[in-house]
Amino acid sequence: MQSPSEQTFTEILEDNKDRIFRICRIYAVAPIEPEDLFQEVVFQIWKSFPTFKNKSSISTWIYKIGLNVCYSAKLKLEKNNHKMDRLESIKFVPVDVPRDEDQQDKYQALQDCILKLNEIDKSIIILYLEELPYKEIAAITGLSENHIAVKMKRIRKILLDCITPKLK
Amino acid sequence: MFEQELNEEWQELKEIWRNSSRTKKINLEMSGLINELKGKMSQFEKDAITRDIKQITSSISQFEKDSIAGDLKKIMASIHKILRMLGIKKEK
Repeated sequence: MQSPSEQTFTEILEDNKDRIFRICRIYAVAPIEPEDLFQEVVFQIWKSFPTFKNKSSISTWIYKIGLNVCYSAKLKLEKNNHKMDRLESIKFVPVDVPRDEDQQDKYQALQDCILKLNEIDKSIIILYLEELPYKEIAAITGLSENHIAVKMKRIRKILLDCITPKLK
Repeated sequence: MFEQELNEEWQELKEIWRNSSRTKKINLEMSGLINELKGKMSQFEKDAITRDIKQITSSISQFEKDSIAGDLKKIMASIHKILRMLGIKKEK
C-alpha cells in the first residue's frame, strides 16, 4: 500500500515520463544512454519530492529537474566511465513499429544542432519544442520573458541555419 | 511566403521532437520502483554520513594535535617561570 505522497509521486512520474525521456534522449550521446539519464532524473525527483511546495507548477518543477540533472548526470557519467546502477523497476520496451530511417536521420540532425548550442540556449530550445509558453520557459530558466523572446529569435535562426541543409 | 515556409519547418521540427519519445515504451513498476528508490536513498545517505564522519575524524585529530601542542607550550612556559622564580638556572 502506497502512502499518499508515494501515490502522488507515482502519478507525477507516470504523467511526465515521456517528456522526461525526450529531454534525456537529446542529452544522451553514445556511449551514454537515455535510459541512464532517465533513471537519474527519476531518482532526483524522488529525492527532492518532499521539498516540492507547489510554489511552481508540477511541469515547471519537472522540467527544471530534468534539464539540470541530464546536464550534470552526463558530466558525472563521463567522469565515472559511464558506470551507473540501473533501477530494475524501470523497463524500456522498444516500440514494435517499422524503423523509419528518414525520421531517424531527421532526429539525429535535430540532436546534433541542439547539442551545438550553449547550455542555456539548449534548455530554451528544448522547452520551446515542448511547446511551453515564454512565461513558463522564463520561470524554468530564471530569465525574463523579454529576454527569452530576444534569445528565441537568435536561437531559431542558428538552429534553422544548422538543420535546414541537413533536412534537404 | 517565406514566413509560411518557416512555420512549416518549425512544425516539422516539433513533430520530430514529439515523436522522439515514441521509440520506447517506458514501463514503471511503481511499488518495486519506490522500494528501489528508498534503498538507493539509504545508500546515498550512508555514503554521505561516511563522508561526513571521515571529514570530522580528520579535523578532530588535527584539532587535538593543535590543542596538545598548545597545552605543552603553556606547561613548558609555566615550568620555566617557576624555575626562574626559584632561581634555578637551566643546565647548559
